[in-house]
Amino acid sequence: MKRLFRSFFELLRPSFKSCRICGKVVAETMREGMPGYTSYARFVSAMLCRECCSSIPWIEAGQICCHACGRSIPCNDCIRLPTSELIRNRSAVRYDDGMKELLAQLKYRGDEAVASLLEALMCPAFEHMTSELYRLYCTHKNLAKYHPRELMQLLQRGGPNQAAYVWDALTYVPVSSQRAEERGFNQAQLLAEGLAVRYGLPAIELLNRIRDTPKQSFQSRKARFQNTEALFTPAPDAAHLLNQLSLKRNRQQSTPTNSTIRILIVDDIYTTGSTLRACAKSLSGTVIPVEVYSLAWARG
Amino acid sequence: MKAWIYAVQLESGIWQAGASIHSEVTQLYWLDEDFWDGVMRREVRFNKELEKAADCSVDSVPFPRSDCLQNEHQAMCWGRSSQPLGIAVEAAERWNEKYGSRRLEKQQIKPLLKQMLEHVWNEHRAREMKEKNRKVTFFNDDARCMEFSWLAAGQAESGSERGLLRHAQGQVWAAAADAAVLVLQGRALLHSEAHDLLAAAGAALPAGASWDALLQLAAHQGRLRLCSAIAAAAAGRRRGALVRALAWPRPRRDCRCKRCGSGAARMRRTPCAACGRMCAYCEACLGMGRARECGLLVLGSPAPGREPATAVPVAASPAAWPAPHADQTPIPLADRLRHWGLSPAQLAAAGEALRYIEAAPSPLAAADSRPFPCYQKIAARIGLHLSRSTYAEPEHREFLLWAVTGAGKTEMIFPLIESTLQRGGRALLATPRRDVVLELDPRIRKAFPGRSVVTLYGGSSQRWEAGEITLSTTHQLFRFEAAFELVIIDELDAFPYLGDEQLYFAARKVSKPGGARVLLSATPPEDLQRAANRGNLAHARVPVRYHRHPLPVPVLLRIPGTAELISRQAIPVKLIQALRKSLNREAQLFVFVAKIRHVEPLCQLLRGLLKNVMIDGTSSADAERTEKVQRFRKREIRLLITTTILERGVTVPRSDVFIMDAGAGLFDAASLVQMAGRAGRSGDDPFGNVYFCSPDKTRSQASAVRQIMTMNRYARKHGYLLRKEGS
Repeated sequence: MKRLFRSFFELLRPSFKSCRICGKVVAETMREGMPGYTSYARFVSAMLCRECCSSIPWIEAGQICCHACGRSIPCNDCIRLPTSELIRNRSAVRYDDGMKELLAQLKYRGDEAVASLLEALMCPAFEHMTSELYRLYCTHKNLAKYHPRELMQLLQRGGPNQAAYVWDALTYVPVSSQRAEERGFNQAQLLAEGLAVRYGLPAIELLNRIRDTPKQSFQSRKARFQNTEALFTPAPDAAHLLNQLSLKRNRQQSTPTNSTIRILIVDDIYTTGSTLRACAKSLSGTVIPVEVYSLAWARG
Repeated sequence: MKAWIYAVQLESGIWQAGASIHSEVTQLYWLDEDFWDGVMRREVRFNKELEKAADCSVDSVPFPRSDCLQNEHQAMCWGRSSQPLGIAVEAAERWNEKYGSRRLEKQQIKPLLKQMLEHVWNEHRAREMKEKNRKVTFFNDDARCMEFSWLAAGQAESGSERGLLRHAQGQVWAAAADAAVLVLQGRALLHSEAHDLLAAAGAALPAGASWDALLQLAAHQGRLRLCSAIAAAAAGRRRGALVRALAWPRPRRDCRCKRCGSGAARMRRTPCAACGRMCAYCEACLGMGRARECGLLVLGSPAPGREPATAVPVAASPAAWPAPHADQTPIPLADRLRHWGLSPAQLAAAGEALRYIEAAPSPLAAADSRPFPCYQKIAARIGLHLSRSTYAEPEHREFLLWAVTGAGKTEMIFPLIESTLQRGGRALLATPRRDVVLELDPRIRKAFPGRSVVTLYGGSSQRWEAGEITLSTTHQLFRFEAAFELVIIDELDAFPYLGDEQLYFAARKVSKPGGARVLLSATPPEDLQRAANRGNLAHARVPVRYHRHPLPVPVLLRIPGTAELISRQAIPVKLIQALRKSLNREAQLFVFVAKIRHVEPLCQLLRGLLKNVMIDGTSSADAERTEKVQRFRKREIRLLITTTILERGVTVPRSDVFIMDAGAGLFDAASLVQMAGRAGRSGDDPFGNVYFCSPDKTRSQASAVRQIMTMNRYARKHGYLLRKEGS
């Protein structure tokens, strides 16, 4: 009864909402065909006003210059460090001043409402990455045996079906227990969990951060690499979890040989990549063979 | 953050529960006799110094202490695992409420504590479940471990080396805690803010101690209070005599932010890594740091019943608040106000306000100012005698200074501040807008040269300083509690804060019990106007400007709306004539429009029609706003088209005001009065012109005109206006 009343009064409530970035009341959202519209904006167009929506510095698939780290400008870092356990990174946006402000609002002010916006911003990059990998790995599948409707769903680029096929699990970059206590949350975890719910994937904790490092954002490039050496260890039950994922994959494919599992690490920002590389290194140290990819919200 | 819950025996049979953020200090304080002796010794010495300084006897209230130190092995019931702070504090408080005055057997303590803790946990759990839109379930049942154990008291080893060490430690730590208390006085700070303040104040940290330890020690001494920033509180005031008399329905306990007073609607529950449960934070005051349910809030006001032991004479209890000039011969008000150079209307109002704030707080006045006195009368008539304790609300001492635009409000508050400072109190002047704070700063410093003035706003360099006069934006009030004897709120109806409960909550919170609040406004909100007219709110009106000429009464011009003018590219002759007339009398013209997008087109249109006149437009979206206003002041721009951003706080001599679309919904009566108040402010041109341009006459326009005319009539009746020459 109470619920009925509530839903009735919801109907009577004026339905205006405010922009998640600038806080103004949204008069008109970005729609298809408007100037400045990109298909990337479809996930966030309901949350933002037109101006904010068109000011987001997307890294579109065509702009990617470095295929290792997903940067939109030619990148010397990846040439300097060619071999790494981290196979590929993609980022959703460039880290400009507006995005910096947005991340600070989440990380330092603690406005957790921003996390859902960041998560929505990551969706296009996630889907693009997923469909790319799907084309790479999964085209050998016999498509004829699928029902046409299932096939449609399967071929929907980067949608939940492809995601479930490509990824075995999402994980996130951990924060130290001291930072977690101080901040109350792990922003990478919020992002990973949001994506996991949206695409029906498991988000699991696989890593631990052993010590607290000084904040990476105050460090030089060299110091960052030194900082992250042996910073992460697999979580106590990581081996067990990975094993289970591997078994699950075997069951699905009914081919007992290939038990390599694909894991996506989610982080908020990729600057030099030292953190994500260290994470990938410690993840691939376990007995189960893993392929580690990463998705960062912003590329610094 | 997590805290431990415990119970100790104070005197035979009476037990007290508490929550501790630093287990070591709590155990030392209650269980180690030597440490306690050290703390006490320091206290005695401190009181002696205080007596010497204040030249009067300070009655020291002995600290509560554990009674069963001797020959007991089970002195303290200690929660084995730490609980989330909010839960621990609430459980301890409610345990004290329920069992604090009862005699209990020792074997009862453990089960009762456990029962209360479980009860609080269940309530919190239920509140978590109630939240909608929860995606992730995040329960950590490990945190619910509710085992208690008994801790034994340490025997006094007065002679031994260890005993001496503990004694010395007690003395040093207590001294450091005293220093911390001094700095924290009157503040309400989050955990990290408190650490910042203590570090900024340069307080010395004794070896082995942490800030938390000192805070906890001071809390044990009752000199400050540690609580969670968001706590469950009975929702709202109980309204209605019947509800109060029957105590039914029982008040719901809802989450409430202790800094800004926001209710459950502004809370957001997220899984918290610090306490391991779904824990709420306040979205309303997020800009001032995050207040969490498991986050510590340090209140720098002494616990109830412990006020006399407070360290500083300034902060003595309200009873010790000296009557004004009690020892001197009373100086007449007029003489005291003379040196401020006020006009007769200002004098009268300032005198009245001064009398009000200097009067001893009387219980009668409190009863009158309660919003619903009629209920009480009805209750008395039908024979319901409500006990006074049901009205245990803090006393409201509010005074409304209702002064027209350009009346010289700032000059009128100087005597109030002066009086408060003379009596040894602290004064606060708060205003919603940051630029107003910056503008007031030099004026206050000039008026009170010998006094310390602290200016607080977002990014202020004086953030952690304390002074006799505090100037601040209203947001900064969240960081204070029971700190000021006089609180003045300027422009309380400024746009974003109109009807904002937070502002009233903050103003009430920062004033000391018995302190007065003075609200300044040219256009008070409806409810305050009504309360003033009914006599429920003490107030004084200043109906005339300092130059003693009447306010310009708006003229209504019936012309089409601005959007239509722009689309037709034509301006009615009536408006053009009025504009020309104003330009010919060498006035500066404000043209207010309702929408930012009308500024530019109207600018173009008027430029075409009025040649040789410098016309420009500005709005909140304009980066060169400040420069344009400067140029307007210097008469380089003659006609400025603007939105409501220049509605208040701008004084341009010899100016006329045109309000386009005066009937638009955006302009309510208050903002119309404010905009009309831009005209005729200076002494050499007191007769400005004000035009409301609108296709129709709306209620807000009529109300604005009526308000202005009422004020003029009131002024004429009281003889505040200058006599016209010749009459």
